[in-house]
Order: sequence, then C-alpha cells, then structure tokens
Amino acid sequence: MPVFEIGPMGAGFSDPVQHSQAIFRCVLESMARPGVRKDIPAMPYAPPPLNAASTAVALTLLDDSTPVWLDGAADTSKVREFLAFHCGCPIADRSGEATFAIVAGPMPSLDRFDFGSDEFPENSTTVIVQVAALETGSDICFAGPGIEDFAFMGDPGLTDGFWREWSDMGALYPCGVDLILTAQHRIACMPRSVRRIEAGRTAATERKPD
Amino acid sequence: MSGVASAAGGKTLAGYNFAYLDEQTKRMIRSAILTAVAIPGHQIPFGSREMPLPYGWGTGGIQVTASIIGADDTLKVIDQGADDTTNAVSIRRFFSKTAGVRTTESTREATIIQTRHRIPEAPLAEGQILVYQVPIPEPLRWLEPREVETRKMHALSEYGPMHVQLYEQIATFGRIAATYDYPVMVHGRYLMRPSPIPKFDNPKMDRNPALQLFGAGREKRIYAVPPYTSVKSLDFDDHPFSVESWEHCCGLCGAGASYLDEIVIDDKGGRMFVCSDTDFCTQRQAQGFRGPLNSEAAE
Amino acid sequence: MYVAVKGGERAIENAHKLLAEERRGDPATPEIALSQIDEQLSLAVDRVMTEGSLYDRALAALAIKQARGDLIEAIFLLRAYRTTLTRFGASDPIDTAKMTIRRRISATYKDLPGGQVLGPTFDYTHRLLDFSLADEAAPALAAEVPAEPGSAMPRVADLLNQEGLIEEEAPGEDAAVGDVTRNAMTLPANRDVRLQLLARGDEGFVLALGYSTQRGYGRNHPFAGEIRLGEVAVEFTPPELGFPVTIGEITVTECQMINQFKGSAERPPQFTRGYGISFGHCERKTMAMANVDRALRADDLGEEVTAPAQDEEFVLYHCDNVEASGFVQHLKLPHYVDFQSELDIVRRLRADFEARRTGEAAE
Repeated sequence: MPVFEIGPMGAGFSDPVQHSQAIFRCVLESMARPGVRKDIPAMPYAPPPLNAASTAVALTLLDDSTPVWLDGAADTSKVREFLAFHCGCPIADRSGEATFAIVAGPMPSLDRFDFGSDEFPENSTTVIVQVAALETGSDICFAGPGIEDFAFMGDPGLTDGFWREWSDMGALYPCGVDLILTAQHRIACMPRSVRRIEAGRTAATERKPD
Repeated sequence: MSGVASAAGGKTLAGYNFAYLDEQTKRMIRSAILTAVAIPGHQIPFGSREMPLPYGWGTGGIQVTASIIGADDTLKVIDQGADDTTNAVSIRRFFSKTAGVRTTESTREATIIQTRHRIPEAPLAEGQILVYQVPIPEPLRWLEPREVETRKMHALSEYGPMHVQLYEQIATFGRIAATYDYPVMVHGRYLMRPSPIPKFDNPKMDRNPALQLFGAGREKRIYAVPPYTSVKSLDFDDHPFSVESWEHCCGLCGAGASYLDEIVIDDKGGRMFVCSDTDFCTQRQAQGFRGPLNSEAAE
Repeated sequence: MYVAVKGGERAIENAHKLLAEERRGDPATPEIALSQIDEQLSLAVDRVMTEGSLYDRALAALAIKQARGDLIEAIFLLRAYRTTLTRFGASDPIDTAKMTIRRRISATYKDLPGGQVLGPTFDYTHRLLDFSLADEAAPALAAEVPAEPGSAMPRVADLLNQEGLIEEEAPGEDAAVGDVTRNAMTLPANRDVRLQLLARGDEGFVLALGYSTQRGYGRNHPFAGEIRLGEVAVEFTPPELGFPVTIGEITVTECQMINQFKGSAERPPQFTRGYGISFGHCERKTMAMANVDRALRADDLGEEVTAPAQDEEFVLYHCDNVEASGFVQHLKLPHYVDFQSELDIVRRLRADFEARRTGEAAE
C-alpha cells in the first residue's frame, strides 16, 4: 500500500468516491458484526498521531455538518489542518457537543460524550478510538446483535475502568456511544448494543433476548 | 491503493455522481445507517432527498442502496418477489445507469438485494445486504397518528396498546387478522414495522445472517436489523404467531412451502397458484422440479 | 398453460415512447418554445419555481414543457434536479423593504407613504373569456409607465411597529436557519422550518387551509396589511471577503397579514403577524400561506389549538405535493403479495363464520 504525501496537507483519497464507499462498507460490516476486524482497502496519508484507519474513517464520515472533538493527543496542528482541509469539519471545544470524537491517547471517561436521549438516542457521539492492537485472540468475548453466539478478539489494550464504564453504559441502552476502534490500517466496531461477556461465564448462563 | 476495485466497470450517467447522490448526501445517509445498525429497530430521521423516482415508489430503499453500493457490488431488485415487475425493472435500470454496477436475478449471486414486499425464499448469507423499501416506518402509526406521541411511546417502550389492538382482533374474529406489515420486536427493545411483507416472511427476519436495512424516503427514516438479531412477531401464549399456508403447491415448480401468488386464469372461477419469488421458481424448474400445471410435466 | 407475465423492460420502453408522442401532440402544430412558456405562461413558471424551491425560469419552463403542463409533475422534475446541485453557501436575507416595487397594496390604510400601486393584477378584471386572444396575432397593449417610480415604500408592518402596535420580530442573530431540503424535520418545528415547508407547500392545500381559518376553523381575524410584488437584490457574503456582493436579482411576492391578538398574561394586546412569500408572482399562495403561518403560531401565542390549520404536525406532514402525489399514486404499484395475504385471512374468517353458524344451527 503506497502512501502519498502531497504538500503540507497530505493527500486525501486519490479516488474519493470509490474509496470512501469501500471504507464505509468496512465500517458498516464491522458495526453490523461486532468482533469482525476489517483491513481498510485504501491508505491515505495519515497526519500524526492519527493512524491510517482513523484517517480513512475521518475522510469517509466527517464533513462540515459533523463537529469533531479531538483528545489531547489527537489535537495537533497537523491533524487540525488536515481535517479542516479535507473534511471541512468544525472542531468541537467540548466532547459532549461532538458528533464524532477522535481519541489517540488514553480513553477518556465515556460519560464525557453525548449519549443521546431516550427519544433521540441517535443524537450521540461516535468515537474513533486508536487502540494498541486489533488481533485475533480470546481475551475479549462479546455478545449482542450482529453476533451469532459469541465473538472473540485479542486484547485491544483498553483498561478495566473502560470495561466497567462500558458495562454501566449498557444499562442506559438505547442511549450510549458507538466506538470505531482502529489500529494501523485495521478497524473493529463496538456499537452500544454489544456486551462484553466476562471470562468464566459460559454460553449456558447467557440467555439471549427474546 | 490495493484492494479497491478499479473505477466502475460499467459507464455511469454523465453529469451525475456515481450512484446519483452527491457525496455529502451519501455521508449523511451512511452515518444514519451506522447509527441504525447500532440501535437495532430504532428509526433514525435522515435528510431524505428528492429522487428522480416518485416518493412511495422506493425512494428510501434507493437512497440506502445508492449510499452503500460500490462498483464491485452485484445488485438484485425485486418487487412482490419478482425481478421482472415494472418498478423492479425501473429501479434496476436506475442503478445500472447511474452506478454501472452488475445486476442479477439470482438471490445467491447478489451482494445487495433491494426489495419491496418480500424476502427471498432462498436463505441469505453473511455479507449480503437486504434493503427494504418502506412506505410507513412507524409501527404505532395506526394507533397514534402523531409523531411526537409515538416517539415518546418508543422511548418508554410503551407497546401495550399494540398488544391490545391484536387482542381485540382475537376477541372479534377469533384470530389475529393482521396479515402483512405484521409488527415485530427487535432485540427485545424496539417495536418495528417489517415493511409490507406478508407475515409469511416474518420468521425469515429472525437471526438472519444478512444485514437488513430499511429506508423510508417520504417519511425520512432509516432503520436496521444487524445479522443474527432477534426479531419476534408479536403474539400471545394462547394465540401463537402463524403464517399463511396454501392447499396448493406452485403450478410451475411444485414447491409446497413457498409464498404463492394467486392467478385468475379465466372468468369462470379458474385459479392457479405460482411462486411469488420468480428466481426461486426458475431455479427449481432448472433443477427439474415440475408443478401440476407445467406442460412439460406431462411429457 | 399460464405463462408468467414477462417483458417489464419492453413495456416500460414502449410507455416512454407513447408518452413522448403524447407530449408532442400533433406534429403539424409548431413545437412550443421555452421562451413562450416563460413569457406567456409566466405564472405557471412562478408556481413551479416556488414549490420547486429553485429560482430558474428556463429550467422551470423546461419542466412545464416536459410535464405536458402538469405543474405538480413539473415541480417534481425541478426538485429532483435541484437536489443534485452543489451548494456553495447561503445568501444574506433578502431585504423586501428595498424592493423595486411593481405592485403594492394595503387593505388596512386608504393611503400610505409610497401609495397603492395596483400593478399587473387579475383583480377588477371581469372574468369574461376574451375571444380576441384566440387570434394569435392579438395586438399588445402598452401600459402607461408610472410617472414617479422608486419613491420610498416603507412596509406597513414597519409603520405599525413604530407605535409598538404590532409584535416585534427580531432577526435571530445566532440561531442557524433550518433547511428542510437537507435535514429531516423534528417536531415541534421552529417558524423558519414551518415557513420553508409552507412556501414549498402545495398551493391548493395551503389555499384550502388558509380559507378554513377564515371560516372559523382557527379564526385569527386577518387583515391584508400589505402585499408587494417586485424585484429584490440577492446578496452573498463570501467568508474570505467579509462584505456582501450582489449576485443577482429575483422577483418575489410578499404578504404580511396583520392579525388580532387579545394579549395574554405575558404579552400586552397587540397585532400579530402572518407571513407569506413566494418566488415570482404567486399572490394567492402568499396570502393563504400567511393565514396558515399565523394559525400555526397558536401554540406560541398561548391560543387553544382546535382546528386543522393550527395543527403543526398535520399541516407540515401533508403540505408537500411531491410527497403526497408520489404516495397516493404508489397505489398503482402491484400489491398482490399483500392482497394474497388478505385473501387468505378473509377466506379463513369466512370459514370460521360458516362453522360458527352451522354449529349454532345444529344446537
């Protein structure tokens, strides 16, 4: 996958229509089937510290109608310039007012983000989270819509505190946030509907909703 | 840039973007679809556009398809289960014209299937996307015409009135009289309209390996059912959900468990029954199955 | 043997050919030119531009020609084209106080600064078919040009405002203006969204609702404060320049209704406003729109909502003729799968009924 850099802004997609479609389908499939990891098919230049997958998702989903919040690590002048030039998205000062957020450092507390309301749960933040790795493994077990029985993946490097918050957020469903996890050129999604199954709990103790 | 199919194989419509919609509109619809997938069964408002086909003729499904389709997709379009009904033909032509994509009548070959009023008989697979055209997305609409009220009812999971309505049918008719657009509960949380498919198709929605997307253009709503998601038709312990059945089999392919269309063949009360899913019927005939009214059966 | 109906593709193509033939009519009659539609069916062009939400006379004329004079079909054509256009920004609000007036009347004052200007109007014509128009070479009549065009014509509502007799309408500085062509409406809608939907709304529907308010279904005592027709400049402020640049001129009709208001605990008695505006000259539409706009403000003004015209959800969800036309006409599409389901249940219910009756007779 060649990486192009043109000028200080870096290149966006060389074929925005086809590439953003292809990347959207990767995100859609990962959102529809939590646990599935997809390698993005087009590699734009990535302004540091963003990885290729975060950048590709940003180019695909962000525009002037989607305020984006950047965590301390992601909030660099290169990232700001890149997003302003290629996406035209406003930068939100407060995480609770953002349609999208990009987290390149430690995951902030989930309740910083907009969970939507019972009537409009869709008015929530979608958080693009850069994680250490998205590998196969059995460290994390998921259940929920999009998953036949259980889905497994390696440890992405999120803290116990995060998993506790994720579990607490489940009680507020349909309110909540959706996560797009990225590592290098790979993505996986955690829609708010997905539950982490603690190690030791077997299929027999887990009942699916009727 | 490896992995991405080269530009659309076929030609696209001069003066218009790939798949008609502009990129900003696609982004807006794509975000709505992602959120819809994350909240199964919940209707997401979206900025539906005027399409060059009339409202009520599939504009919601068309906008969803236009936002997800890529040059390497293979599209199937059905109306009433058939690929050759005029509106299905018209929508298929729209996408071959504007996106230059490959089209098919085969359920198995299609990566995206846009449908009005049916779910194909052949089982769908992981990776396939079924796009429904939806006229009225709100399952509570006949009980409560006001959007402001139905939104509250969904927020509170206040679905009692729907059960009452179905129970009143049992009290009046001895059975549930709803036959199509039969309400379902999705993931145990949201009451959802499956679009006007016959209730015969409802069980196919439950834990289906394919992704199911629903687009209502005029009503400006998108909703979704991810793969393997629980979809239960409303019923009662003493009146369990049941589907239509026929005393006949398909006159052409002999299928005994597919949804049948009734065809009036003369003005003396003559009727015949054939599969509503034309691809299913054709495949069966190709495999040598014959129904009682298929002339070749006699040979 | 039954053969499934095939050939949807060919049927459609043939239908398109027949339609083209019908549109053209007798080839012995000269083809109608877009300029003829624009110049001589100009009010049809105005309506199509207004409800099509696109100010382009030539495209509207083309749509009317292509739609064979079916204005709702023409509006649909224009709208479907409009959605594909890239937008590069929003203009500054037009200032109708600075309008180059061609018609201006007020029913609330006998005379007022700038005077009453009758302009081009059907009012006071006797609706007698003019057979001389059947003659294609009818001579044109030159109208007298008013001696003093361009004297100041303040808006009637502004005159009332000086005394504080009419509610003040402050421009919303910060609030972003909604856009019904880009975002789904959420309820309750704000007035910007309501006015957009009414301006695009079907003239017949809005007219009937406006009429209903005058017959007691949400009565709000309207006076035609002012109707003005003329040309206004459209200005755009490019962000990189920071000052407005005139990018063109459009014809608009504006109607300000003045309505009674008894006052409430929070507000003193004063007149209230209903507002209507259109591209071109759509006077009937703007007046009806102003009536409906005022009726829809019932909730804001603490009035009881009792009539259809006051019911925001009812009015806004049903005023769009492109939506309405599509959904009513979709009943032409095949529904035989659902009908089969209904046949199935009716047969079962009839069997149940017969069984019950036989059972009762046997007892």
